[in-house]
Amino acid sequence: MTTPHTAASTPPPTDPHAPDPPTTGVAAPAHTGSSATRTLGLVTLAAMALLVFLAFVASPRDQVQGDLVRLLYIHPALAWTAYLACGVATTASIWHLVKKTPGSDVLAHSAVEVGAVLTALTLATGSIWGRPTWGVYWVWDARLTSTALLFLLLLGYLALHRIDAAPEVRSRRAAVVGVLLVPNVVLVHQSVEWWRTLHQDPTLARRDFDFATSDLFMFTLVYSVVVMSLVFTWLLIHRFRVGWLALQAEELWLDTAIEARRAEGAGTTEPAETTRTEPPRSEGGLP
Amino acid sequence: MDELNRTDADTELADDESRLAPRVPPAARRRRRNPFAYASLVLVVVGLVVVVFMGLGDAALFFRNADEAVAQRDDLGDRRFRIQGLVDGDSITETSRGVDFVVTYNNVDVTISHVGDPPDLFQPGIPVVLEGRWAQVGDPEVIDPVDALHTDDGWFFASDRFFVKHTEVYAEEHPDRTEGYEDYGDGDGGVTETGSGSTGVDGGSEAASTR
Amino acid sequence: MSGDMTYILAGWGVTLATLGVFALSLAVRGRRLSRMVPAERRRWTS
Repeated sequence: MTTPHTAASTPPPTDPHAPDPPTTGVAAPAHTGSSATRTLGLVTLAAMALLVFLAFVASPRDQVQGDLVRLLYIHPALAWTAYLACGVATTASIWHLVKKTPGSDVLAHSAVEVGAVLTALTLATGSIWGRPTWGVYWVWDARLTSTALLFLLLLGYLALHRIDAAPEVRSRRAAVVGVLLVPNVVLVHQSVEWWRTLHQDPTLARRDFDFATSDLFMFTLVYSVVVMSLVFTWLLIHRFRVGWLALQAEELWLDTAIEARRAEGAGTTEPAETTRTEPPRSEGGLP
Repeated sequence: MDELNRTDADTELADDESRLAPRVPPAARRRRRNPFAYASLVLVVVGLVVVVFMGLGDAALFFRNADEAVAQRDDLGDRRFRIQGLVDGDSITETSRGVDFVVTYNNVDVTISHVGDPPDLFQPGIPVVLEGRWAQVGDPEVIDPVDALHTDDGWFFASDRFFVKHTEVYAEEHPDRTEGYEDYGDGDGGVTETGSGSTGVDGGSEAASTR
Repeated sequence: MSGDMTYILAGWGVTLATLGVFALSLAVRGRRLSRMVPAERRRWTS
C-alpha cells in the first residue's frame, strides 16, 4: 500500500466507481497491472525473445535427436513451473486450512489455475516430442501416468472450487485437494527413479549443472527454466489480483443483497433488485 | 505481498451485523447451484479412475531388460511384455514387414523380429523398448527373423510395437561420431530390486557426453 | 529434417499461444472486475 501508483489508462467515463479521488493520494488502477508487474512483463518478454534465439539459432543439433532437442528448451521448463505452481498451491492451502484468511484461498486457487495451464502444456509439449522421438504420443509409463494424475488433481481442485457452497466450505474443500499436490509432484519427479519408465531421467539434476560437457545445451536448458519461472511469476501475480477482485466483487454483492433483504424485512416497499440478479461469477475455472 | 494478509476486517464491511448474516443467503444458494461444476467433478473422478487403472497395468513394470527377459522366459510363456536393450548396429536388417535386429543388455543378446515401421530415431547403439512376446522359429502366428541373425536355441522376440528410449544425455552433433552409448547397460542393470532404484544409465551417460 | 521442424514449431507454437491467450484473459478479467470493485479495495501493494 506504500508504493504510489499511477494508472496507465484513465478509467472509462461510465465507470460507476470512477475515482472520487482518493484522499490517500494513491490512485487505484482500473486493471491488475502495477509498475512492478509492468517491468516484470517487459523483462519476461525480452528474456523469452532471447530464449527463442538461443533455442532455434544459437544452440546446436543433438547427436541423436537432431533438431528435436529444441523442444527440450521448453518442455522441462514448463514442468518445472508446474511443480512451482503446485508448491505455491499446497503452501497456500495449508496456510488456508490453518489461518482461514481469504487471501490464502485466493493464492492457492490462483496457483492451481496457473498450474493447470502449465501442466497441460507440459503434457502437450511432451507428447509432441514423444511422437518423433519415442515413436508414440503417449505411453502409460510411471512418469506420464503420474503427470496425468497431477493434471486431474488440479482440475479436481478447480471443479471443487466451483461447486456452490458457502465460500468458507468451498475453499476448505478445495484446500484439502491443494494439500495433495506437492506429494503428487514428488511422485512425478521421483517416478523415473522409482520405476522403469520410457521417459528419461532428469538431465539437470544428474549433470550437476555440468556446463563443461555441452555448454550451450546446458546453458539454454537452465536459462529456459529461468524464463519460464518469470512467466509463471507474472501469471501468478495477475491471477491473484483477478481472484482478489472477484472476492471483493462477491462480498460487495452479498452486502447489497443482505442490505436489500433487511430492507424487505423492515417493510420498505423498495424492490430488492439486487437479490434477483446473479452474483458476479467468482473466480471461476479456466476462461 | 501484503495483499495476502488482508482480512475481511481490513476491507471494512458496513457494519458488524452483516457478519452475523449467512454469507450466502439460502435463496441465492439454490439459484446458484451449477450443474456444470458437478459434471466436471464427475469427469475428473472418472478420469482419475481411468488413469490409475491404465497406470497400474503398465507403469509398475514398464519393461524388462533383455537379460531378465531371457531369465524369465519359462515364466513369461506367450504373455505380452516389453523388452529393453541396446540396438546392435551390425545386426539391423530391413525386411518387407519391418526390421530384424539384435538387442543387448548386460551381455545378453535377444533377436528381435519387428513387424511395422520403426520410429524415425531408430539407429545403432541406442536403447529401445519393444512390445510383443517370446516365440520360437516356426511359430505360425509370428514372422521368423532372417536367418542371418543368430537365435538362442530358436527363441526370438516377436514385436509389433516399437519405442525408442531416449536417454537424458544431450551432446552436440558431430558428423564423424555416431557412437556414444557403448557403455550403456553395464551399470547396475536397471534392476529395481537391487535397491539402487536407478534405471541403469548412470554409467553410460558419463561416457556418452564426454568427448 | 523438415518433418521434425513441424513438431518443434507445433510445440513452441502451442506453448507461446496458450500462455499469451491466458495472460490476455487475465488482463481482460482484471479490467472487467476492476469496474465492479470500488477504488479503495483495489490498490496493489507493489
